[in-house]
Amino acid sequence: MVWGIMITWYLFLAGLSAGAFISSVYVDNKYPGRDKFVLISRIVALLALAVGLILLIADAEGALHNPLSLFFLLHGTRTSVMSWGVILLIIAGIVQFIMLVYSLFKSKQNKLIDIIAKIKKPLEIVGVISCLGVGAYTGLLIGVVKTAPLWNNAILPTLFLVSALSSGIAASQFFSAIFVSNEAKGLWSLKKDHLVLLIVEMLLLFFMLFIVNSGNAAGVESVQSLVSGKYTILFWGILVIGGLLVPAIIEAIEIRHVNHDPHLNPNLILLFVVEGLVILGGFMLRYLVIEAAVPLNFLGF
Amino acid sequence: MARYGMLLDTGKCVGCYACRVACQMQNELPPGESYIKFYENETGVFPNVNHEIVPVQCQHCEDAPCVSVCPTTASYIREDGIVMVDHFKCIGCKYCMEACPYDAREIHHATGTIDKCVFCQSLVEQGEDPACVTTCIADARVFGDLDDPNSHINQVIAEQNAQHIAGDLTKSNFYYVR
Repeated sequence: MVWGIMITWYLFLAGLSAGAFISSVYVDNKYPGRDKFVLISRIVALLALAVGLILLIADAEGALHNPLSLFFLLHGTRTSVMSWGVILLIIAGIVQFIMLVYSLFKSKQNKLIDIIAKIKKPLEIVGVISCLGVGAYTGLLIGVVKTAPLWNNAILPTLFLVSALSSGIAASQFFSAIFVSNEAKGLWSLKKDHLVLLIVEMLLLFFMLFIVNSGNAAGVESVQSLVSGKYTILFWGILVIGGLLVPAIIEAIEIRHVNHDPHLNPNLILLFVVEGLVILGGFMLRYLVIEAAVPLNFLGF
Repeated sequence: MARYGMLLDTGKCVGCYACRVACQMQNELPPGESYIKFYENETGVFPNVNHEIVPVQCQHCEDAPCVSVCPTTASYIREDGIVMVDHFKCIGCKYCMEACPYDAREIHHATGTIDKCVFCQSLVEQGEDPACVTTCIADARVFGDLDDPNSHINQVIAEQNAQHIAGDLTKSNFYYVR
């Protein structure tokens, strides 16, 4: 397959951005007063989106030679998942930007801020829906490519969406903990949801590989290269154990402890380890899915 | 309206790569870029062995996956069935290269856009055959109108029971005698 590391980064960053924004809306509504957490999550989300889009455009060599051609993206075919993605990314980007401006200047008396405050709820809804769309689109984009059986299945977009939410939530906690550790601590309900996402992600990954492995030769070759071939160490070590199992176990233990003692002071180092591993695992998922894809053998020999 | 197609008899192909060179000349391609790829297949057990060379280029599918995934409509199908790329609209995202099951597309590094076999449409418009067809030393290639029941290509398809390279993977306009 022809897509390489830049598209891998783009798929990862776009998903992370969507997850981090949704995390910011969640915390804003569930834990009022954690304004800095919300602000940092929104900065992370918009930065990730911007860097991802720069990588996407840098990978499109034709657009570098002729930037005007990018405008054709807006009235391209409606059959192309990429053109849906462009629309979703534009909506998500605009909403994320408005919400970031709001978070930045919330405390100031300003006409613009008053207007945003009035439409905050609908903006949040549009933002969350478009971000869910972005998360799913990164999977759909490659999911419709019939040539690669590892991609061409219905589980992949769901897996990418779940992983996008998971790595976004992890990134919002990780970066908030660097700057405002007291606001990143004790978000137990977010952590519980995060644990559910990690478990669902493990199941989806297992189901996807199991089903692709029961399909045609190219699919089997892809799965084999992951579980017992070229990518074994990355797959088991960084994605499954490091990116999913270890964070899930640590979070489960933490949540168990806090159920016994609601005033438990969470360990900041553990937070960095868990969330850092989840972010790394999120990247590794995209990397492995892109790299391990083997095209169909159309020749029959 | 015509619906152009091509037939290739791998039994006649000697693997001289003249079609590839003619294609590169016609499309002014650098030596490393080509719209025709060659696959080799060895079958049988000594002494009854067979060696087949299968040249593959754009199959000009009627349901072309490259066209449906193109985000800018740069990839399109002409009325005469030839799948084309509009280089002004192409952003070089390579989505079509991922989607093409035949690996028939190349990135043209000078412009950053995607290119492929277009059945030498400029020659075809002047009533000539594509360069790979005219140059073939073994007459392994036949080009013609698939909508015309009396065309030479339709006669060979019927006589030789020509098939698509990958069954019904796509609705291709390219036939193989193997």
